[in-house]
Amino acid sequence: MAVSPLAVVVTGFLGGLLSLDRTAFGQFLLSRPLVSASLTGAILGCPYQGAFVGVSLELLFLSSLPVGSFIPHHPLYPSLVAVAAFVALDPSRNGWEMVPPAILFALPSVWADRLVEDIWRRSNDGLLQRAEALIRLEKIRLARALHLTAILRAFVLNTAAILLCAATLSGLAVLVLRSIPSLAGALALVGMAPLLVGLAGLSAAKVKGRGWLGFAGGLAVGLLFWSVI
Amino acid sequence: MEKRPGLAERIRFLLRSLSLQGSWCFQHMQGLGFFYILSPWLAKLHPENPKDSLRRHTAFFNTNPYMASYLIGVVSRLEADGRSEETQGAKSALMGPLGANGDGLFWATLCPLSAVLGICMAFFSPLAGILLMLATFNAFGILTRWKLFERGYDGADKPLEYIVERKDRVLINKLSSVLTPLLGFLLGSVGMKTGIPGTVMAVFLVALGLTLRKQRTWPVLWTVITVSVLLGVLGLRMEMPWFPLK
Amino acid sequence: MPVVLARVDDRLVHGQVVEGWVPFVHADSIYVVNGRICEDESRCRFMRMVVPEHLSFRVLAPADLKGVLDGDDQRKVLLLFDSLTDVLAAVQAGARLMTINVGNLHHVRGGVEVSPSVFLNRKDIGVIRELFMKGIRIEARDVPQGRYYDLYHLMEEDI
Repeated sequence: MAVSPLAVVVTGFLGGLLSLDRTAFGQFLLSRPLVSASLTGAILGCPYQGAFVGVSLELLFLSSLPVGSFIPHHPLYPSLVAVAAFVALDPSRNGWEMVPPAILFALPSVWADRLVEDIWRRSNDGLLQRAEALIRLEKIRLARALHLTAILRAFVLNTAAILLCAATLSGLAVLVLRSIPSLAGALALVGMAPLLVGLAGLSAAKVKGRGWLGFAGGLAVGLLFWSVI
Repeated sequence: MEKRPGLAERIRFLLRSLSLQGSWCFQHMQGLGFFYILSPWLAKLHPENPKDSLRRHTAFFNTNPYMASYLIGVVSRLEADGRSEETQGAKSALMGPLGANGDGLFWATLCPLSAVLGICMAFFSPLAGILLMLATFNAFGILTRWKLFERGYDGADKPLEYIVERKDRVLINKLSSVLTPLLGFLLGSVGMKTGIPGTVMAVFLVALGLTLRKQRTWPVLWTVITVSVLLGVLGLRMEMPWFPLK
Repeated sequence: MPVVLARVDDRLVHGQVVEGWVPFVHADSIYVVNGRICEDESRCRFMRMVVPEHLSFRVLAPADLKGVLDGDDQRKVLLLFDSLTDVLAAVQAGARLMTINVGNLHHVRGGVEVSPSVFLNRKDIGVIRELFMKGIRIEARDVPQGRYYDLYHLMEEDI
């Protein structure tokens, strides 16, 4: 059990790139946990555990959405940090018992994510006035470049923040689990919590009226399907 | 019409429109991004004096990033026809409605739908799940960005017409009716794969659903985590690994 | 008519209202309270297009709000104003409102920042003080899950 600096650095840079997809460039859903955690897991050598982290966090955060100017809790940081923490907790990278503790220790990074997004948005405040001044001077290329510097700043800020989160939180996880080894077993059920809370939250928000019929039908099909297979 | 952007120009519009939120700030939101997207086009239209037209489009702007392409189309057409005085009216009338429909379609419906589809598929193969999720969402996303630009450019005479047709809202309703059975299926699958008895899970979920009616996810999550830690300390275990099917 | 939310939002009907607040407060109708828009029939019809069809929708003048709220209709209504002055006009005409949510009052109007999406000028603050005097609570919050800002401190500060 030890934090691997290489894994932390890889997580940081990958996170910086993926974080652009969230607001600044693209919105292709690459920053959703199912994609980001699986990708990080695949790169760090634990694709199945990564995908599990992705599924859990994807469901948990499905009901918080970016509407208008509102900054929601976004699962990108926890999904990356959880994979980094798992790699630190289980250097062999093929066990399962360290997955729930990794998710749990990564969850607090969701606030770092929100803080960084807010800092970045505020750091763009004066850009438009500067662009207007440049247009008046007919320096249009420079005005356009200002827009791109903001994207670059998003990358730098997020990379640094994810690096920091991955290092501290996986370090904390290692420290705690080293001193209380039995904790991993006790936390096993926690792996279910994000799944269930997410499913319940999304169902509560989306299923209404006649939708309950379809919901029940789907539930029956799901239960039957897996008992037949 | 002779100035209609060609294929290469439209591709460049599409690529630039990806960065609409690249310099999002609380004061002007996507204002600088909108300028960035339109500026090469405006510079091409007014090679002798681009200043005035450019300064018109550095104002406050905020709408859904996918649906914004419609307004980009409308504004580039109005500017090409020399009807620049109408652009501000079109922008302020359409930002809100496009934002409402776009957020409803992309964030509140398509995002959960494609994620749930992806997760269902991930039970068989995580890679196929991820690809399915990305393909479902981005087919709509990229098509919307491409088609709405053209629609806006060609229909700039009556920019409000698109909202009046209510196509987005019809699509939202159709997609929502696909989402609910899938949610049920996913719940059943999670139940079966974790080996938790169905009745325990049903009671648990109804209780959770009731507390989540007010959408306060965090307190509920912490409660659930505490309860499951307590159960774990008492020795209860679930089947791990249960994911994916091997 | 029970009011589930009275909101001041200079963008009126948009994503935060339709996708955020309507499911949160379980509203089944949206009423826009605005004197200018209710006289402009094409704008009314246009706004109706953005509201999901299971919600009923109406645009009315601030002076008519009292009559509508005192009616027998039991549908839960979400009220939208585009400025604090309209709220005051409605209240002065006798409409009973308990709390006001201020969602978006935008930068271009100038003034002090009380939250990232709410900027108040002198006139707004004067109106807010008058509303406080009438016992109405005012908060600034963009979406249900968002951060909450109580505006009571504006009572004491010199602006």
